[in-house]
Amino acid sequence: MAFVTHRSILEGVKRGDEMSWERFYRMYRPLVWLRGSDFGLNESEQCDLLSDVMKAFFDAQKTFVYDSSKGRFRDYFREIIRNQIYAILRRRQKASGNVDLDEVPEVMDERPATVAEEEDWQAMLFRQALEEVKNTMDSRQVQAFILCRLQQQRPNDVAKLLGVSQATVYNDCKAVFVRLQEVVKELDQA
Amino acid sequence: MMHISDMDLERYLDGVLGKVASFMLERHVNGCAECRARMENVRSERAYLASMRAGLKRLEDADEDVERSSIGRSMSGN
Repeated sequence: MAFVTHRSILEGVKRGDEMSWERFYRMYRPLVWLRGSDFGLNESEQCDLLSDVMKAFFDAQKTFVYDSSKGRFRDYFREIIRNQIYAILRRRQKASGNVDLDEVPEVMDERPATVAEEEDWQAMLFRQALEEVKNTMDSRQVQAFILCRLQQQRPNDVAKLLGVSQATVYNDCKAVFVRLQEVVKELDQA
Repeated sequence: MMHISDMDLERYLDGVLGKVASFMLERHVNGCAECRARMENVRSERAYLASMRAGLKRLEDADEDVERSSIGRSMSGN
């Protein structure tokens, strides 16, 4: 497979490759941030969370061996995020001294993904697939798709803008959509 | 039996097919299980894309929040 997958990024991270770390950070930081928001963390706690998750992940990389047959990376990463959130909540409760500490679990949270977690993961895959498609497909086709299907401009207007027929716009949108679905599927399985 | 093309299904859902053509399409789809199934498929693709648009917006907003936060500023060296 030519494009960047979780596996190839993780391998780069494990090697200590700086670009892979940067890519990892940029790819996953919104997911961490959104989960912190779900738990009502303030900005300072959100920053701590992002830094704690990256550190926990970095530490785990020393011993972690990526094997998709033993579990999905998304589940593993979700557990890291959740447990770092719980650690922050425990620190907060301890500091305030007036909340029942039993409310915050101390064991690894292996419950299935919530709807929000799953939707954000799918959006992250889609975003990654879109980058791949931008790099590999005809730029007019990608532009037609983005204008029509993501920015929701009228196909007629897009056709005029790109100097092509309406039929071409529809064909371009379909071609890009099909490829996006293929890439999302591959990324999801990688 | 002639079926509706994918493009006309898309144009119908985009509201650019025209009144007469839309009426003919609806009549055909009502009586044709195959085209009805294809119409449903196009609708579900649209629903998926709507969900992705919302998801991309959430990710972009979160990225902006990170960039504006102290950790984002320190990562960018500001």
